[in-house]
Amino acid sequence: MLRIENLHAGIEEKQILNGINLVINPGEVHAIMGPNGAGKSTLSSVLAGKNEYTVSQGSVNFDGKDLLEMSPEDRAREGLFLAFQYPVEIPGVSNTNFLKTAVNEQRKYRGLEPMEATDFLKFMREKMDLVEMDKSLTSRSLNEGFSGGEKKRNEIFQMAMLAPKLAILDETDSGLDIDALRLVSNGVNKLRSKENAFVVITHYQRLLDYIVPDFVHVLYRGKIVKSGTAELAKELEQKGYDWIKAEVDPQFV
Amino acid sequence: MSLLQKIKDKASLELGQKPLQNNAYASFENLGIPSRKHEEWKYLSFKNTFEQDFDWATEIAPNTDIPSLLHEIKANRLVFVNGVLSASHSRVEDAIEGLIVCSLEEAQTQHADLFAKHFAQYANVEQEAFNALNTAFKPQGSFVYVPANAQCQFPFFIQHITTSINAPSFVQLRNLWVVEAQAKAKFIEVYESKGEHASMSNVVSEIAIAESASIENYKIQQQGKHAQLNHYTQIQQATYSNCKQITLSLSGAIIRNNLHFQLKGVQANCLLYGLYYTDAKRTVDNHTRVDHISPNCTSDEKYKGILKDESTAVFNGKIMVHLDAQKTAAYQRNQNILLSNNATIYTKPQLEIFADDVKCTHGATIGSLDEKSLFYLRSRGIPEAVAKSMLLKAYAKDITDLIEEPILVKAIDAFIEKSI
Repeated sequence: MLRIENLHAGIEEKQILNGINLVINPGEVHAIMGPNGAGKSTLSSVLAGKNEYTVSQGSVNFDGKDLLEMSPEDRAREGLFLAFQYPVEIPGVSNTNFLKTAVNEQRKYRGLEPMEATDFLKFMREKMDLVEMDKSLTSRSLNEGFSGGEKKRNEIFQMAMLAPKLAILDETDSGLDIDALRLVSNGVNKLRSKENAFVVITHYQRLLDYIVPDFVHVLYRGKIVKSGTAELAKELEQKGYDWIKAEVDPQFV
Repeated sequence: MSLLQKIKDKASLELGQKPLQNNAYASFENLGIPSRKHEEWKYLSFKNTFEQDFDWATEIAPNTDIPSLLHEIKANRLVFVNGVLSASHSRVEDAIEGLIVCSLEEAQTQHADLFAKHFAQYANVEQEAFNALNTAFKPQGSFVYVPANAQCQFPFFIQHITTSINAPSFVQLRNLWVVEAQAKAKFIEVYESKGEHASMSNVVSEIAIAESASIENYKIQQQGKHAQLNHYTQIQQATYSNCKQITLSLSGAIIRNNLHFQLKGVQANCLLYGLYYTDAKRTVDNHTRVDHISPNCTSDEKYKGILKDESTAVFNGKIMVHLDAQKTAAYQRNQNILLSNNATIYTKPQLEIFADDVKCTHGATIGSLDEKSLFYLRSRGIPEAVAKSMLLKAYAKDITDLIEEPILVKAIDAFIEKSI
């Protein structure tokens, strides 16, 4: 589904990703871990198409198409979804109107008729129940005045509405208490299927107790330096990142 | 022949012995068309326009097909083409005793006392050249008199269309609205144009709001790309009166607004909000002035702009708190979004406070569309243009939320969608 080859990217003059290789197949959940500054968020930003990042080398193929050539909206319409680490607040744009526009724009791209208002509301209610989203949040402005947990749940709710092929969760666990973490993880688990895939970016292993990955990758200095199974995440939790740093760079003690 | 010369010629033919007109014309001669050297006209001058060859608009065209903007609003409707009332497009829905809705021409003869009592009593002709020019000639436009205690069910919808179908044209328009004590009324005024030649409309509005009366006024300026509009509005408020005034400057080559409130009575409240959109090389210049003359009055001002291409906007907001106006509360904000590096905004708040127990704030911001918000929307599959118009509609919402006329709000949203 997603094939990243030798991806080099950076922001302004600073090179951050130094040759990422990663293959993701339908039905898989990949966790990407790593210390601060390893390039985790840069990777998600580059995949989602944030224009301040420039790709200097490498390729990303998404379901047979060149992902890097696409606008952010086309990436989304092709089935890519990024759950933001810091979802923005947009006063004056209602949550419902936003979702309706997003859903219908994606339908339009696929040659489908826009959803009727009543069908849309029914569909929205179903997905709200699925991810245990508080109904009062939908009538408010997009993320405006939402707590950290509410914002993250709103990301998962949007994901449920848009049903992407590939979802990238960028440090979705940051700033969440244990209850919110469980709600968010439950939402993700309910959405897992044989057809879709997830990339879970996280600093801590805690989230992976709830969303159990098939593969764990360690990102360090802009490269994947170690890959393994869920066991690797547990090892990292116990031993920290220093032993990996030492493996990569013997001068690091 | 220049427009200015044509004005002179017309004055020598028409003025005769009428003191009001004569004084006004003398004042106009004395003041002249303000140039950019004039502090209040620093960024925009009509001097050049008056040196060009414009005809006094005579195209009356009773069959002019009237643009259908907002035609769904059920209203007491007056439609003017070049200042001349088009009876076939006009009608009055409210049946209120003593309510007068007619042309100024009719008011002058049929309601001579009321006309004399209010006409040219508010707008300043000593210092304002365009008011003087407007007052010097036969007034053309709307007259509305709302008697005491009247609660109008329907809004007054005043539509002015300037035409320049055959030649560049100059037209002078005028509105006089008097709302008596405890009465309540809503005024929607629309300025439009037809024709591919240049046009210049010089408009003066006088609005008198009596004790405890309350009005809403929505002004929509939506002329064609060759049309220039200069609009001076004087609003005088008596004790306990309320006025909500919203100016929507959407299109036209040049728009210059002078909006002047005089809070004469105690505890009068006014709200002046505005939304302006400029693109291409267009200019919108909003000069506002609120005179707090009596104690315990409030003024709440917010103007928001969206600027595109190589356009220019000017905001100058003056708040004058007079010596006796203790316990004044005055708020002023001007916010701008520049969608292009070549657009220009000149913004200047001006507070002059002579009383000592007042609460006044002002602030101005200039920014661009928030990149993070834009990316967020696009990352959900919303195309850039749609995302931009969503954000701009959200930005304009502070203003449009206060418009108590859903059809008008829809029209503004549709306009923003179309413009981006």
